[in-house]
Amino acid sequence: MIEIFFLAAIVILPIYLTLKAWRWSASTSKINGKAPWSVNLVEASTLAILTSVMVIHVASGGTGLVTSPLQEFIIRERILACAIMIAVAGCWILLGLWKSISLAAVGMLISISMAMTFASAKPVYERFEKEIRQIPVPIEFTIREEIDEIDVVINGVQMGKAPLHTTIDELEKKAPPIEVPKDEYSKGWKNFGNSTYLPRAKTRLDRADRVGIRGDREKSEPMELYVQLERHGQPVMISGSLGHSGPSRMFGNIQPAILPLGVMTEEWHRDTTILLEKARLMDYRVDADWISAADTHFHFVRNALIAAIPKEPQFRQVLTDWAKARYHLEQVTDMVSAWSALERIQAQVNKAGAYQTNSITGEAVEYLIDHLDSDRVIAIAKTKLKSLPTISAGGFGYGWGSELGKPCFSTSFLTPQTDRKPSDFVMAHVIWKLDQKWDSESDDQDNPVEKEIVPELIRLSYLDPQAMKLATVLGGSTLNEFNRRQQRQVYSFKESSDPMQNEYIEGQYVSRDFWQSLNAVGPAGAKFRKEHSYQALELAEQFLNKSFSLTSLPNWTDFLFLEVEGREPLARNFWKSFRDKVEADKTHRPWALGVLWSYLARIRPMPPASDFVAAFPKKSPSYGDFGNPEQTLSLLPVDLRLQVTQDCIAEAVRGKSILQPNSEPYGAFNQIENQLIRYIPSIPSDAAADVAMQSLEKTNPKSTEVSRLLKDQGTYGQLTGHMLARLATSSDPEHRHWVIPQIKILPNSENRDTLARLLNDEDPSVRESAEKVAAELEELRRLPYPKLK
Amino acid sequence: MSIQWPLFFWVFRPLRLLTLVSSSLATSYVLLHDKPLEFFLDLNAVVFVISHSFLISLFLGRVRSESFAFLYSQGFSRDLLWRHVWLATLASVLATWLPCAVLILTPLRSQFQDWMQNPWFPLMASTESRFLTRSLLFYGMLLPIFHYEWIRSSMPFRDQVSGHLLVIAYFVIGLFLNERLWYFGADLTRSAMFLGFITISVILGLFGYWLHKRLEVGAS
Repeated sequence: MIEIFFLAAIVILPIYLTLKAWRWSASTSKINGKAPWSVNLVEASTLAILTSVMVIHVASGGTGLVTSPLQEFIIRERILACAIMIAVAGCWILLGLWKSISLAAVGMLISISMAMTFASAKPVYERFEKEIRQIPVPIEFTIREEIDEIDVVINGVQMGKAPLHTTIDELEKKAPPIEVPKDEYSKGWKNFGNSTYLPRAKTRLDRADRVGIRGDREKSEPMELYVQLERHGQPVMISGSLGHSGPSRMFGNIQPAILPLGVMTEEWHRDTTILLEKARLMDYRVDADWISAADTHFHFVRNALIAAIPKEPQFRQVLTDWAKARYHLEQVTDMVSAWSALERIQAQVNKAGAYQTNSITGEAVEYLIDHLDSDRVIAIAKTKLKSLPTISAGGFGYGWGSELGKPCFSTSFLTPQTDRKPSDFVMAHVIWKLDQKWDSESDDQDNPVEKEIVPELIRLSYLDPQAMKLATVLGGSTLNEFNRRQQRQVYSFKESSDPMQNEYIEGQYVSRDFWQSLNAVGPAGAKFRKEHSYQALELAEQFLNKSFSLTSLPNWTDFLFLEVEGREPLARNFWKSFRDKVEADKTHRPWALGVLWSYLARIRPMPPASDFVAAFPKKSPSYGDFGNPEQTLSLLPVDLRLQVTQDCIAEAVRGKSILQPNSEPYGAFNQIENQLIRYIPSIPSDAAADVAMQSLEKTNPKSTEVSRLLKDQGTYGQLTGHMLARLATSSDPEHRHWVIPQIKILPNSENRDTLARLLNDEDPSVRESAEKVAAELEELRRLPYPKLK
Repeated sequence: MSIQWPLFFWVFRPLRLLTLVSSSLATSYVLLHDKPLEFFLDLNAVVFVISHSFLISLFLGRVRSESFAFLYSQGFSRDLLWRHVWLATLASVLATWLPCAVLILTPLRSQFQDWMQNPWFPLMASTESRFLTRSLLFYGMLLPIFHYEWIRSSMPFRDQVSGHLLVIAYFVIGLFLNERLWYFGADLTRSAMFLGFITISVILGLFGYWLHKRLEVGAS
């Protein structure tokens, strides 16, 4: 709006002044004489410069930046306009020399230039769109795992080796759409680990996205593709979810549609499983041969290890050993060698163009922390932070997520970053780990990160709130003092008139200072939450009313669980409102119990089991109302799980007792009761194992169900250590039998000890099974390491 | 270059009150402003420099006043007068800018704000020297334009809109481009725009000096 006002002023004012000048110039020049040609020339040139500046500004889309082909196109078009303007200016200057009306000339110059700039905008955009639509939209089929020699077959036609670069036009010509019956399409799918793979993946590609700034879309039918992969003539399976980015021609920036294909074969999966089993046999201390075999299956083994770590944390040691070998970290003995290792890693990260903490590279960086010259790290990081612009169109730029329960820096940028490189994120990771290390040694005084780096981050946060996130992770007295002082200036969460002072949260703008103070950790944050608890709860109520899809605990709830000075966290006071809202949401009932229990599980001190049971649906449930009880219960702390499970079973039994046996609510209660009973042996505690063992007694009506479950769990290697110990020492030989397949799947030292005992079992059939597994393990030990050919 | 102090004080005479007021306003603002000072994001500071520059040229360029006619009829060369006009201008600017620079660089402002429990201080103190350089640069860009305006309007070949149109265009376009203009080195187009404005100031500064020699003086 303001631009229209200015433009109107720029056009109308010069026209008015020109007309006025036109009338007066003749008479004044008669009185005062003619202006020297040099005056006319200088003034006309000056106005020509101003006009050109304005034209550049308008031509570049109002940003002053030439960042897209659209803007370049417009500028090219404007060169003609500028030439005409200069010609017009020249004519007027000549006229001015003759009639002394140069000011009229410059006024006209501005008017004409502005008129030409804006009047010609639409045809320019139209010509641009026409030109840009001639460019075929590229498509790239890439292999996520970077395996060579993979042939891409699209709609049954061999298109070449991956990475395959093609266009939609080429695909339409060479691989026309085919009809594949629905049953045929998904036939032959397999689960490898936690992922589903298909022999043939399907995706749809739009021909094009928006082209120009007018936002219209080219109308066309999306193209359906069936993708198959082969390697050396053998089929390769594709990860089930075949998403893609783009394609886009927005502002003329041609972005290809990139289809990253996750691949797997039975052979590669078997090799990966063997490598993991061999690592278990070696008690998670792998040797050079293992590492060299794992290197040939790099992505598969890495993914399998990262997926296994939450359940088997010992695999982190494998990751560390692998990182040490991959980056020659065994040569690191002092600060100098550690620094050169870090530089090697940074160079590699820059070459790859990406970095993630949760990776083998990240593991290598963490290994180096104890050996690095921390003063040098701090000095480099401080210099870098000082060099970052405080007035910047972009953000601080690090990715922010959570993997394996820790913050994750990543650099999976789609657009290149001009002022930071991927290696800077390695340094950010080092800074973060150094802070953790020093905090674990002594948290009484500020460590160098908190003294030197946090102030720089706070400084950056004035114009870039992202920097405050990292500062909050690092903490320290400077941050606490900043929070304390900032809070003195905060009066309301209401949106500020200054857009720089707002944050957009859950569909509304709130005062940035209020939001930061509310989420501040440490004593200052606790004090603020105490003093502003009424406003904080009002804000939470507003957010809650705007939440339309409560399938998980929303991120904005974080502040509710933070410490409040001398009081319980705000989550306690807000619990009733939250529960009412979640329970009233009929469309997301299968997620409701999970959301409510996640909320309760984050409150400290932990609420009693009765609070969790109170959230359990009690009236006329339907089959989907409990969601996935195993997943939901795993959100609870281990010591509460058994009691909550047992109390919920009691609730289900009570609910059943007043219902007709053939009604849906009865069936739903019965289903959840069975699911909960089956869940008890999975709880990793002695008490749960005792309860599960009791339920195996023949007098228990559910004993057959529990027996079947434990047998299955043994077969699939899912028995908890507690359950395994009970079953291995049970007097019933059948129970001891269940343990043996588990040992084969998880042959760590503890399980091998159990196997050794079972080899001398009094029951011949148990002994026989144990001998068979022992032989298989010996065979596994002797098996050569598989290598990807 | 010799400075004739009596002449300087005479030329500076109309700027005394303005300088006193602008200096007091600027120092108070710099001391008390609770946000970190960032020149082109701070509309108050930009408006202040524009107003101060405009008033300097207005008070020094009263060509129809008796005092102006008196000064220009005392036998001083036009070069000498021109130099002293600029010295008076510089004195007024520095009398306003220097106390601010002292407050920012010593860093009294930062300490005062820290004492006032401002969360951004002393953390942001190191970034504020930019405020000084940018404000000085802005003065440097504006003053030649404003001085040119009154000289051009006093030419024998003046007409109704002499100089004024140019200044209006300069300001309207400058304000329209706003802070986007001030990123020299950020990219080619923005650098070109910035250089365009600097070029205009330099050309008009030099051309103003040339025209000043042909100034027609006469009290009305």
